[in-house]
Amino acid sequence: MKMIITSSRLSRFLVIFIPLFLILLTFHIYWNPENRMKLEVKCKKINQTQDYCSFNCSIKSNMPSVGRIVVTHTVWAAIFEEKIQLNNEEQNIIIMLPRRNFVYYIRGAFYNNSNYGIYDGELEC
Amino acid sequence: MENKLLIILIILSLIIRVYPFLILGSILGADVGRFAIISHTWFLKKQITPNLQPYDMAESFFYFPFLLIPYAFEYLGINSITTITFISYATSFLGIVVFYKIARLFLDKEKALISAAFYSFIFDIVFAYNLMGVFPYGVASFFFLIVMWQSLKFAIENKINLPLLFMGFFGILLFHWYLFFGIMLLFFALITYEWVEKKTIKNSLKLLLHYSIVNAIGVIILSPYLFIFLKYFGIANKSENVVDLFSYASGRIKFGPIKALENILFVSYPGTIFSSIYVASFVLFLLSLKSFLKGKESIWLYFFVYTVLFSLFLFNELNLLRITTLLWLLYAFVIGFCFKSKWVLLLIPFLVLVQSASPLYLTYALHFKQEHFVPFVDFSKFNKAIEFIRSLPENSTFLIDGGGAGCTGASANYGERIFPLTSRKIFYFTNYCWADYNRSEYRNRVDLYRRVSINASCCIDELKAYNITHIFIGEKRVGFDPKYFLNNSNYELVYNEDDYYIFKVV
Repeated sequence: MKMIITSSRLSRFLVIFIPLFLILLTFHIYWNPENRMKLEVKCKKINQTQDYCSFNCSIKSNMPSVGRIVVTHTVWAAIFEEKIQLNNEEQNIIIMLPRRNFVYYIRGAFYNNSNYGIYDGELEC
Repeated sequence: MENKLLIILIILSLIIRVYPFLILGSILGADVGRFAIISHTWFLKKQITPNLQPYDMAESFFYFPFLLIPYAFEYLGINSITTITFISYATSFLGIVVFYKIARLFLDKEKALISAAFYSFIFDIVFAYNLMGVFPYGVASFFFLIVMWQSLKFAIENKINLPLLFMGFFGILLFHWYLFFGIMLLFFALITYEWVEKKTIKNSLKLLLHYSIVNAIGVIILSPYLFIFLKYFGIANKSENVVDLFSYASGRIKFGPIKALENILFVSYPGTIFSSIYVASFVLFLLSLKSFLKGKESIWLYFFVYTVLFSLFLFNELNLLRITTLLWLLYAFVIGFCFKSKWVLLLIPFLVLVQSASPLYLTYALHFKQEHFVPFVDFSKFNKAIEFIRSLPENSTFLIDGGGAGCTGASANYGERIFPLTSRKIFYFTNYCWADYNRSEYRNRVDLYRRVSINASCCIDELKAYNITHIFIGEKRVGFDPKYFLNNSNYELVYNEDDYYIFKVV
């Protein structure tokens, strides 16, 4: 057995590779626990004038969680941000944005211990 | 002949780096302004402190010690943005020389030159990050190259230059610690190589000892800074800050394994650009795989395997995925390794049109495809507006269009740079994922910006309560449209040039 391990390049590679891969997998499992949260965000334009658009967004998750809904322009910078506590019922928020013939990004991220829910979408106004 | 080609390569590399600098006069992106805000705040407060109030909302934060460099240069009369710009371009240029040295450990002069040329024009990781504004990581990548060079030299030739190794690690300690993960992958590759080829790991353990010694010296030198800031190191792990990062990286987190692998191998982290150049280089690597199975070349194979696996299983979320750009070093190397003739260099000019995060393409895109940039502005126009702002009273406070926000936030028109360049305060910046600040106050500010965007006359009393004296609207508009401020009795137009507007709150 010892002969095989020391004589074969592949075996020697595996001697290093397997422990490293197992350590990697352990970290992977530790950092990526099973995620049981289901987050649902639905947005609908309810009003539009020359100056602004209004959206009604309903947010629902299958477990109590806390997080926030952010609307950004130019990828990152926020023009709307609201912290939201979700219980078991659906929550509605109204988002009013300046009308610039622009695609805004809406993002939501919610947490409950190791469970998380993420949403991203677009709002055109 | 090779020496002449090397000189030509250096001259052309210099030109391709000076040219975008001449176009921009700065580097783009988010990090430049926000880090310049920190060093300028220290300069005005005359102390290195984690509390940036009243100039910024951060009450405490952790970031890497490089902030000391622009801070020191402020005392020489050089503003932080100029310092950062110079460091960014200089390290990109010097990185080419270091990469050539790495390639020479494996290849003859001609082949190393081919690799270095492809690195310089197509695969320069330092340039890609720096130009896109992620300069702490970009500059740290340059220092990673130094550590890589010395580590490979030790593994292959059993020689090491400890001052250079120290310099490499000290640069990573200064600029961005994520590169320690890159060093870890490199070390795994080196220990695998030594064990497979030489049936021992003695040299690797010696290398680890060298790493430990130079890092210990680096930590001791930086201990006064770390003593102040290390207690805030965990701020980034607070759930609210993680949420911030999650909402930014939301698309990436949802990737399945195939999409994630595609992202790791073929998409640039800076700019998120899918490139057929990365695909072609990867295919070339696969075609030449047999030559990487043994000998010192196998280090590259192990480095590739570990980088891909660790990226797939561990780094795939959040900002750590940027480690994948280290694969570009292999991509540049493999071209020199596979092509015997220097005529392959004639391919490079044609690659200017192929989309990638290369210096060549990005310089071309500066003219024709500015949507790749994050975001793009012409800084000569911006600087004219800055000159005007310098003539305004010192207690002026600016509400800037675009605001700030987000872990990687910059305003669309770089209004946040008003503060480090003129010492005039700005309103509505900042939201970091590595700082503590009053989040409800931050939300109030976002909301005020949104309401003023919809109706410029809505909130004059609130603006005055915040001591806001001016509105700044740059050429890249987001929420604010000048037409709502013009002919509005609440505002007086005081500057209007090159599509830049500054209004005084009456």
